[in-house]
Amino acid sequence: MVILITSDNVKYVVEKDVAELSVLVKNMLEDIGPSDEPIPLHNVTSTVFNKVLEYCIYHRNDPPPSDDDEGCASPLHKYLASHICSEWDQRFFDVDQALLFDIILAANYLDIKTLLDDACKAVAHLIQGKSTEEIRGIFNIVNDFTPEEEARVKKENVSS
Amino acid sequence: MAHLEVVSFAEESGQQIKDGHSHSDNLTPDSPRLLPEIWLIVFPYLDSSDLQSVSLVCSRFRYMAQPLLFSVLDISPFLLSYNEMPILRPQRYLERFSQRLEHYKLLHIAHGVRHCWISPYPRSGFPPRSPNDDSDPTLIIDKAVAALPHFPNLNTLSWHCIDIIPKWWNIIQSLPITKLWINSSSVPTNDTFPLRTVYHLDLDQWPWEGKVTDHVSIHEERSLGISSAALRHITRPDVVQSISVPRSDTASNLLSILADQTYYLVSLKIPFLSLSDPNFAVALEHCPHLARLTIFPPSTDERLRDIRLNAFSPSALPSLARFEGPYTHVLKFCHQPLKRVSLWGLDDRPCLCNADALTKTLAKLAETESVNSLGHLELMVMAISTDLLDVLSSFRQLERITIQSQESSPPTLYQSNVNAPVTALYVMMGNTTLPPGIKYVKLSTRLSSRSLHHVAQEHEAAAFLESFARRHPSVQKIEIEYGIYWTGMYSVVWGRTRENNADLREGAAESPYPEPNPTPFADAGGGQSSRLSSKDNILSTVVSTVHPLPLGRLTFTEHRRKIFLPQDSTGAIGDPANLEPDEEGQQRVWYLIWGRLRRFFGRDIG
Repeated sequence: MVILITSDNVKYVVEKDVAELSVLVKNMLEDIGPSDEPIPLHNVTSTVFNKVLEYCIYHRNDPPPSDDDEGCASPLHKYLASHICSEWDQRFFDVDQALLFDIILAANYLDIKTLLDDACKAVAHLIQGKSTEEIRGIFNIVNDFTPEEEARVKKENVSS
Repeated sequence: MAHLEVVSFAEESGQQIKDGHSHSDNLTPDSPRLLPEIWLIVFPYLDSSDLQSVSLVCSRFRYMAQPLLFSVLDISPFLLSYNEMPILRPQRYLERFSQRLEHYKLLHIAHGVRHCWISPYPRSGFPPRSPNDDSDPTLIIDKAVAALPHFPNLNTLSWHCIDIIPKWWNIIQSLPITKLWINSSSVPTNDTFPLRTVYHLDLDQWPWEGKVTDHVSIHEERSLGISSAALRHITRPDVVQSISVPRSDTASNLLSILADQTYYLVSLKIPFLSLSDPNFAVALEHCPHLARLTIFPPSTDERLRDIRLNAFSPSALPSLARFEGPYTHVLKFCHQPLKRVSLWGLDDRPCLCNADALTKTLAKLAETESVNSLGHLELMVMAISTDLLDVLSSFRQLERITIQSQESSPPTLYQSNVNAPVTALYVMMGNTTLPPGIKYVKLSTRLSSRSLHHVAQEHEAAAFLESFARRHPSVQKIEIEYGIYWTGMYSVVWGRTRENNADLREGAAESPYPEPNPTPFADAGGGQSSRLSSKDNILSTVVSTVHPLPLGRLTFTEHRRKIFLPQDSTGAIGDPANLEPDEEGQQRVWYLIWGRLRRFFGRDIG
């Protein structure tokens, strides 16, 4: 068991294999050696850490990504496997955008690559199929292009 | 400390901390809160039309998205090259291409160009033909090749079906190309420098959506493949690490150059026919670092069973750790301990092994050193048999097992229980003990349980998985897929959440197990999500439920398909009332299974 304390002073007792999905925690544990000393997580609040833990507990048994997928699996099996994954993940990431961004920042800080990638996929999902104006609306971004610049980007993009 | 709460997440993560903070109100307006490096992880998941929209959002996004948009310089100087009369591009294509190229060369874009693809067929498919084509494709290639030095991060070149002239070659060989995919092109070998930096080589593959496949390209089927001289000019024996070649004449040329001198190859993928190549054995003897050998299954018109393998020195391939190929030949490649083995066979289509013959082969493999090294095994069989499962227990280090089974000739065991054939698999597995270190098991079968209601199937799976996991304390994840594509696929995924030695009974007193309600996954409407494929008139219904069990968590997914005709009444379109049983019935059956599991574990602990 590992004791972790979030920035708002909430204490968590987490199984070691789950905690070590965070490379940051894993490295800290290696540095301090065997000890019951709680590990402070300065940049993560308990609200965000709850989500991070939920993810880590659900994905703790995932086999390490295989170096290639060609093996025996047929496209259907791959489809089913990815579908099951994404179904849970879709539900998991169905949160308001501020929390989603906080999860990303936490995953980045805690160095949990699979969570970071999956959360970034969820952000990409917000963008997919949207117009430029809609994307500005979703992320609250102001258009800083002059009309000439905008026309130039459009013209360049035609070449891609 | 203002408020300190201790929460143990060793249990299921059902508990939530009460937390007054709301996070939705601290979003800074007018600026994306994410750092550029995060957006750089997000944007690669987008396709080109989304990237175009993103690049127009703001200038920050533009500089991040545009390089991704231009990562491949895709040039299609010809039309379909295998036609009797090659039809060329119209004159204006050259003008348009020149303008396009100028955009690739822009300072904020050029660094994003990583891949140049020169081909008679563009990545997205075949170009439309025009009767007015009259231009010389070499003019287009001239322009493209002359521009390549502008791209500092270009490392991949795909060059298909165009003979390379010395002028182009001199530019190409000056570039740091590390991945080369070349299809039946000739290479100028006189008075030119060879390529020095290629470490991954793909030869004569069929392209699909911009990617290499394991299949032979048919675009060049009338050409001669890549010559030995050309291969010598693009491979440096001490640099090239992996080569993949599905086409047998090119493979033969490759084996002839490998037979000449020592290569530092780590991975080699060759076609089945190469096993009988006169240079095969000596070529492999010249690859002492080869760790992975893949033999592609033959295509349907070359399913030759009697491929003879030439004499092979037992000391050859001292580094081989991974073999993928026909089970009939694996014993020739296990002079050194193998770590990972994938086997297919030619006993039935598509590339399946006869279970009895495969069992005998595996028993012999278990007499070699591989018995103590094999960690990962993948099999494609006609049907899973008890003997096959039993022989797996000989491999003490085995951690991962994947078996794909077609059930094309079901043994009598299945026939005795035709009503619920997947039960037969559970019964068979229930009598099997897998190696002690087994962590991951995946079985795919065409057995089905259509006559059983899915709730009953879930119970069957739950009971089997928990008792199997109890007998195999190291197992972390089990996946079982069964059914037939068109009538419905079921997927059972179990992941361990508790160790066997955890005190289950004490937990029971504090009611740590969530109520035995299935937790619906998808929408609130009973855990169902349906998707209608309008194009094919196929209705796809996916229902997933999650059940926390004493040792693990079970996810049961039902994937149903139904073809319907437009004139069918809407009732045919998967009326949920037809799919779901009455709630009460479900609860009752779950309660029963729960009681059984509780008793089972309670007794076991006591």
